[in-house]
Amino acid sequence: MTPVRIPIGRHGVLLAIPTDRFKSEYLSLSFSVPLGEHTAQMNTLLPAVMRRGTVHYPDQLTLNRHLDDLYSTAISVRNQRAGDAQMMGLAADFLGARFVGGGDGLLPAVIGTMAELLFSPVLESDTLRADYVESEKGHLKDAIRAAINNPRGFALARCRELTCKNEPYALSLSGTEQSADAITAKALTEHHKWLLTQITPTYFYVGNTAPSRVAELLEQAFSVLDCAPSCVSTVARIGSSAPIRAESEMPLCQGKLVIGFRTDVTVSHPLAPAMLMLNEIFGASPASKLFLNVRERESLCYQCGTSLDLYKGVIFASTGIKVENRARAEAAILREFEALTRGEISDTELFAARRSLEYSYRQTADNPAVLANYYTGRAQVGNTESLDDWCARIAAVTRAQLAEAAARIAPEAIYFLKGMLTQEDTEE
Amino acid sequence: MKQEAKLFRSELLGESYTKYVHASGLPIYVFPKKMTGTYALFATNFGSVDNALDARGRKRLPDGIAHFLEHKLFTNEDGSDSFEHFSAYGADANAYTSHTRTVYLFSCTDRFADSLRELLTFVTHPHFTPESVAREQGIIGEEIRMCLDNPYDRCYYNMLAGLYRSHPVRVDVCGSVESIATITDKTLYEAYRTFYQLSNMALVVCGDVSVESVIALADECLPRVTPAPLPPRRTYCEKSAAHRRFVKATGQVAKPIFSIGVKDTDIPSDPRERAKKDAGMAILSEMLFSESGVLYNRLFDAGLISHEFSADYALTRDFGFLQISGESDDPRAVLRAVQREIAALQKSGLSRADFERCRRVEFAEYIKSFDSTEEIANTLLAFVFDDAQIFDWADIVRDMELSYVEELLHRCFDPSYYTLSVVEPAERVQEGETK
Repeated sequence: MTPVRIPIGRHGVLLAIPTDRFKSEYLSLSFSVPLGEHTAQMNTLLPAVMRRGTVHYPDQLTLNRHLDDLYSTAISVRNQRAGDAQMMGLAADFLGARFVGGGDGLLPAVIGTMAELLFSPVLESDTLRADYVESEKGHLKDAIRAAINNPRGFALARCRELTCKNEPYALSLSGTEQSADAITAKALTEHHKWLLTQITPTYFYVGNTAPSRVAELLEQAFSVLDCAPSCVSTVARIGSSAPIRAESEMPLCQGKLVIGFRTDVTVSHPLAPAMLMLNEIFGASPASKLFLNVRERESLCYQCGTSLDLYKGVIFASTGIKVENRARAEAAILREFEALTRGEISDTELFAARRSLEYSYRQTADNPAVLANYYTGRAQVGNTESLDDWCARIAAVTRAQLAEAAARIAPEAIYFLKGMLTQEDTEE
Repeated sequence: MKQEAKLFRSELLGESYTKYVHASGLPIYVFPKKMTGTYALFATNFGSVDNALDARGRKRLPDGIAHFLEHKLFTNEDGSDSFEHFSAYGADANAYTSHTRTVYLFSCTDRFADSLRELLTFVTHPHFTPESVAREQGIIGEEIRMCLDNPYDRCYYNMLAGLYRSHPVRVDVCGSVESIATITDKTLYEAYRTFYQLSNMALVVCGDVSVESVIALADECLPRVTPAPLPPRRTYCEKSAAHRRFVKATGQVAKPIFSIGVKDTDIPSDPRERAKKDAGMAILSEMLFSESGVLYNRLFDAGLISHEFSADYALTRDFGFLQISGESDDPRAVLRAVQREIAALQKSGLSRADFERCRRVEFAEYIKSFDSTEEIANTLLAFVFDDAQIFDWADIVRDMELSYVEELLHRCFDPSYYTLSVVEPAERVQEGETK
């Protein structure tokens, strides 16, 4: 499923997959800006305030009812790391034209609503409504404090901060409570105006409307977004091999151990498919070394796996364990990693990893949002490789390439969140 | 005995599926769909609430045994693990256990026949040893501890324990570290023999496959046994009132999180009536608690709730409840506001415009759900295990009347049906449970 590419304005691009296989349609608008200490939090807060009301739908009630009237159209906000950039945008999932009377269906109204959310938040004396800004600051601060509600996520975030210390990737998108307090409605309004001048949009559409018609509607709605593209560069390097260690305590039943690894192989590197396969063999599937050895053979844990971010060049291996098993678990994970770097990969492991990746990329054709993630993510770093070409490169990965990739990865940080509760403590 | 295949068709969706009862007694459902991936699940009508080998509950099973069986079935007699076999076929396999069922599944983009053979074979060939059971106790023990560290799980199960006095839905699907310690290879075999009879199970396949190919693989892999009688189902005598009004715990949370439970013991015995009630409650929940509703916006504007507020109604053959969840500095004030709003609407009646809007939402979500083979297969399974038909849902929603939804509003929200479960940050708690 390779998308059709149509320019929108001078710098934007529409990637469209015309198809009638789905009952719903999908449209997203994405863009990236540098991930910065002073802007990341504003970028997180702004869409929440914009989602509170627009000129035509000035509060949540009327805006949500408008979306209900569009047959339960969902418009979600995208806000994530993409290497050392912050990738933002809007994505809409809505019922296909054939269920709502044919023609262009809901598409014009959905584009209109997305444009209104982006360009026309409700204002008060030319400024974003102060009550909305204050309310959403409160929710943002609650979310910052609520990081402890998810111990595994908390441990991963701490390990990310250590692994990429002093780099944009280590920054929290939510920022701190203190910096949230300092944001005013006026400052956020100025930030909104500035942000609109920074957007080079990539649009992604999956549905039955002709791409040329989609492009026409997008031109009409978004032609003012006209910033020249500039890719954000990302710091990528091999881990130090003498990992930083840190530990903290929480009243939990388990300990959460996270090991951060770094590599200079990122998404556009020739060894990217090999790095992806290494991660698969290491801990990304039920046939992986961590699953079969640390979980199944040693019976140390329920969850043990890895996640790779190819946009930054980091792998995080994480597990939840009894506190007294910390040293055993760390040694077991690092043992599997060392085996990987020594090229101790069986034919079975290699075959299973290849098959697993082939499957996961092939089945993205069934999910427009996942397809959009693939293409728009790559577009932000100037990479235009099609999914088919990417799959072909994965299928062609050799043992020599795996060895080369394995030589370019090393541990950088080890973080342990120590659970302080005993069994008795939990039996209230 | 050869059974006729029965075709079900939806003109609205342009979809159809076939039901076929295999000679082994296994009901097979094939939903052909031109997608890249194919999704298959093999499920047994056995979940955490089925905690005894007999209808009177004299032969009790350890809590968490359905979930334990789910873990153990992947290990084969030759020592291999079916996960590894699926990986070799390029399939993504998994399993889950809920209160009412255990489901083994895979999705794949090729070599469907190999994966379906694996699924049908490993689920019908149990192999348990004392050593492998002991190893699994370690793994599941960590799963239980992981869930104990999840305040949302604790809030949910405390809500169920607040609603129900004796019904086993109040017990964690995984059981406890103590209960799983009593599980042996013998108890696993007993539970397996009772609840994994093919007539108590279902195979559902959704994807680019033919009915004939699935039946041919079932012929090849399944034992030709005389269908056995269905396992006994315990029934529970639960009062309509909630067991406790309030359950409080402490946890690792920044601000209190809550689950308001509303117990529903008025469960229609007729499957279509049950489906109608389920649809009616879905529309009513949307009207009362969605982000497009007056109550949500009033509570939000007052700073009592956040964007995390949600409501969900669950109805099965023998239990039902509405769960309203969120985070708040004052969960009791949220409960009072919910009860006040419902009392006011019981007096004033519901708005027809709201009803039509929310019916439209349900209808659109139903249509959109047919874009995913995974969602189709799992929803189809939920319907067939409840003796209902997935395509009837659209008719039920289309024919729904406001008067019926108003009747539900009056019947289902007696003040005695409520329980409030709260997980608070440690320093805030000073009192324990109150009746």
